[in-house]
Formats: sequence, structure tokens, C-alpha cells
Amino acid sequence: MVAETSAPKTTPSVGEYLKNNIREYGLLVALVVIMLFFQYLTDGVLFRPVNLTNLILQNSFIVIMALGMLLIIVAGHIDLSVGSIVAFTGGLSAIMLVKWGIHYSIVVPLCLILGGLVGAAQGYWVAYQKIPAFIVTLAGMLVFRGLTYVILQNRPIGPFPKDFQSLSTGFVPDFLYFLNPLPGTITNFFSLVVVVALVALAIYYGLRDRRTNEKHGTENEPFAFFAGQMAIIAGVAIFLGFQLSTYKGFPNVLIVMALLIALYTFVTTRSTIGRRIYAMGGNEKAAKLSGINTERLTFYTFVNMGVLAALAGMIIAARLNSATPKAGVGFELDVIAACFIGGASASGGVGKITGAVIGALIMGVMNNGMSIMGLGIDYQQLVKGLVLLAAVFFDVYNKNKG
Amino acid sequence: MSVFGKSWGHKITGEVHMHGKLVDVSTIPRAIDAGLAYVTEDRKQLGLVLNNNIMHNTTLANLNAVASSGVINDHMERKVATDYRSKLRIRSHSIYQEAVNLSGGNQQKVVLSKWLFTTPEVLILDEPTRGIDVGAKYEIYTIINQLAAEGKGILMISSEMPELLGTCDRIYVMNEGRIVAELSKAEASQESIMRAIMRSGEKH
Repeated sequence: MVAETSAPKTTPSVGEYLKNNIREYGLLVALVVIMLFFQYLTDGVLFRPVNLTNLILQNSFIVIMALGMLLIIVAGHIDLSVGSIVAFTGGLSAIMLVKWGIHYSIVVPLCLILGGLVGAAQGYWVAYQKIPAFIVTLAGMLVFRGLTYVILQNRPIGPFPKDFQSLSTGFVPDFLYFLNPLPGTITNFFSLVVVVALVALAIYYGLRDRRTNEKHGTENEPFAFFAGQMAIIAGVAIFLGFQLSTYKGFPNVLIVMALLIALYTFVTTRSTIGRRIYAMGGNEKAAKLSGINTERLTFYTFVNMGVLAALAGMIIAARLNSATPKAGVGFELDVIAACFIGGASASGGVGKITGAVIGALIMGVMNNGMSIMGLGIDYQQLVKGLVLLAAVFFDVYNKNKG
Repeated sequence: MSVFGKSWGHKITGEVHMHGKLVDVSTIPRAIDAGLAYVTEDRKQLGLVLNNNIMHNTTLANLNAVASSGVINDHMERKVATDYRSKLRIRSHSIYQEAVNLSGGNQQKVVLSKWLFTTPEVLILDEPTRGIDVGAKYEIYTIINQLAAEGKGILMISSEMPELLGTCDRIYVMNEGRIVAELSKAEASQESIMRAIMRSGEKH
């Protein structure tokens, strides 16, 4: 017992490190393997610039909602209503934009606020009245689906004004077209420059973090590991960036998505709010007795989910160029599955933003790959279900073993 | 537990006074701000977030002290956790070890660290040595004595009489929800305490 205190801090070897962090890297490896697998099965269609762009457009809203859902799951709750909120806010935006002719610069923030109110309406029952989130949001799922049919009078509304559509179908223009060295192949030089710059920044900050860690005597991951990881990430990012730059460059939603991922990663890892949500999910009573206002925190996680679902709703409506009462049916399941594939625990307190994002991408790549292969929706669901089960089993197995 | 926010227990009777002034304990954050800290009896259910590491548990009740405008300062937090780990001699590989993997005594020390980091004036310890091995018990008593020497008020709740006789300067005997005797250190002994309990029992 005494010996443990004086045990020197040793840097773990690569093998040990891998074993301890198998969950996180395993997920990334799984994504890459699944991508290569479908790249092979689809005869190279998956990584084609057009398809990559499609992949982003088709999955951005799942990723965006997974960010909010992860917070809710970490807090120990669940939200089944997001699919209905998507349809509801999409419908509201259509009515305001198409029927009432209001400018999108007013409609977009207004819909985000309305989404927040929808989230608040549900969060109130969960947080302050202590009704299980499963029941509250199941009710919400029905209520807001019903309301969507009411406000849309059971008919799709469209088409949207062009500027609103560009929210979801537009691309970031090529600001640096005059510098383009290969005008024949690269059609959007700006996006390639951005990717390379981001990779350089990531390496710079990674190295800087290691140096400060060393200064403060904290453990670093083995350098070989760090270098290998950086090389893989840089390689993949530059490859994908290059592919996109040979088509139309970055879709607008990719930028929105990337900024939100960065924001939520920061909130969950560095902010007091994030820390408190994890503590609350891990042990609500202990968190409460440590002076954390658990009710208010729960309430806000639902408000946050509502806002993100509203954003997703508008992106989907803009993409389909019409708001239909059936929009977003079953999305809650994709979003929740993304979080669980990404390593979130159903009992709360565990889960990472990066995990949820990768989980969503795994689901997205599988959807896309299977669609290209011409597999029917029936088989797609079967495969996705099995992958979800396998991912969670992997977690449970790891936990019991470790 | 209702000394500390009214989330536990529905009927609130009585008041908390410190330095002759009424203290607002209507919510837990207010009680903490007033300088109260309650080290709960049930550390697994009420004290620790078991799947969080030592560092996160240590700073949980006073996160704002290691953060500025909502952003946690990693280095400051690490320093706080390392300090308490060495000060209370928490045995672990590092401050990143999850609380669930610690022994009972070390878990208790983490809970103590958490509450000490709120810099309380009065520390309420509810059965602080329950389920702890002898060595750790001794260490906890040492910590309690140190804190008392530093001038902190310590209110210890215990059902182990030798423990009370060994650490307390003043003992209040409670029976069926009422204080039935106040004994100074000199007066207190197993017999006098038992006598007080028996006598109060006879009155009913």
C-alpha cells in the first residue's frame, strides 16, 4: 500500500497505452476500416468527390443533433423527440419564409429560439417535475409530430427562397482562385488551403501541449504514438480536403458543423458546465450535494438540444427544399445510436463529443455505402442494428475485462 | 443532512447559527458559501462521482476556484488535486485514477479533499471512518486533529463511542431525535454516555 505512493511516474509504453485507450482509437480505426470496406465494395464510389460531398450534406444534421444528444445522454437522460422537433421547426420556418415572406435573417434566429422553447417545455417536466425523460420526450415526439401536421395542414410547403436554401446546399466560394496552381484538377483551392492550415495548426498545438505537459510533469502519450496518430489524421484530412477541393469545395453546412463540434468539444472538456454535466450523470446525488444545481443543468441540456434540433430542422428543410410533415421520422434513433456507438453510456456520466461525431459518421458511411451498393432499406436497418449492438457489447466486454 | 440545504427531509425545523448570526442554508450552494461542509456518511452514493477521477472529485464542490469565466484552468486544477493528494496522503497511481478503484480509506480522503477545498469554517463529518481499515482510520483522525488545530469547527457524527471519546472536545448525546446530554471531554466516558441514554429512555 505504501509502495504505491512513491511509485515513480513512468510513461506507459505504446502497447500499454493502446490497451488503456482502446475505446477511443478503436472507434477511429473502425471508421477507417468501414470506409475502406465500402470503398472496396462500391468500386471506389465512396471516396469520389461528389459522393464525399453528399455524405457531408446527408449527415451534417445527424452530427449536429448528436452533439446535443450526447450532453443529454451524459446527463443521464434521453431525448426521443428530436425527429419531431426537426419537422416542427422545419415547418415553422417554411410558413414564415414561404407563406409570410419574412427574410431568412429573422426566421433563422427565431426558429432557433422556438426550438429552444420546445426544449424548455420538455426540460421543465424532466428537471423540475422529475418525470423520466423517456416518457416526457415520447410525449413530445407525438405532440410535436401532431403539431407539425396541424401547422402544415398535412401538405408540404416549398420551395424556399434561394438564399435560405444555400444554408444547406451552398458551398464556400473559392476566395483564393487566383492562386490555384492546378486549375484543371482543383476547382476550389481555398478549401485545400484551409485543410492544410488546420492540419498544421493541429500539429503545432499538439506539440505545444506535449511541451507544457512535460513542464508540469504530467504524463504524455508515447511520442511514437502521437506522431503516428498525427500522421494518420493529417493524411486522411488532406486526402479528404483534396477530394472536396476537386469538386465544389466546402459545403456551408460543413463549416457550421465543424464550428459546432469545436465548440461542444471545448464545452465538454474545458468548461465548468461540461464538468458539472459529467458529474451529474455520474452521480446525481453527489453532484447535488456538492452544490451543483442539477435541475437547472438538466433543464439547459434540453433547451440546448431543442436549439440544435431546430438548426437541423432548417438544414433538412432547406436541403429538401420543402417542409413536409414526415421530415425527420426516425432521426432520433440514428442520433441516439450515434452516441452509443461513440461510447456513451446509457447510465450517464460517460461519453465524448468526438465519439458521438465518429459514431454519427460510422452510421452515415454505412447508410451511404449500402445505398450505393443498392441494398434495400430493410437490410440497411438490419446491419445498423447489429453494428449498434456490437459496439455496445464491445464497451461492456471491455469494462468487465478491465 | 438537512443542516445542509433542504433537499433532504421535508419538514424543516430549527435554524443554523454561526458566530451568533443566522446562516442561510436554504440551498446547498448557499450553505457552502456560508462556510459549511458536510462529509456524508455514504461516500459511494452521496460523496463521490465514482467514475470520475480524483482530480475531478476534488474540485467538484468549488469548481469556480479553479476556473475563470467558466473555463477550467487545467494547471491550477492539477496543482490543487496534487496538493491534496500529497497532503492527505491519498494512495493512488496518480490524480487521474478513478475514485471507484480506490480503497475505502482513500475514497474517504478524496471526499475530505473535496470539502476542504471549499475552505469551510465548519466541517460536519458523518461517520467519517465507517468501513475503513485501521491504518486509514488513524490517518483520518490525524487529519481531523490537524484541522481542529487550524481553527476549523468540526462537528462529528458517529455511532462508535471510542472514536468520539478519542477525538471530541465536547459530546452531545442524542436519543430519538433529541439532545439528551452535553458532556465535556473530562466528563465523557462510555458509562456517562450510556447513562444519559438510559435515563432519557426511562422518562418515556
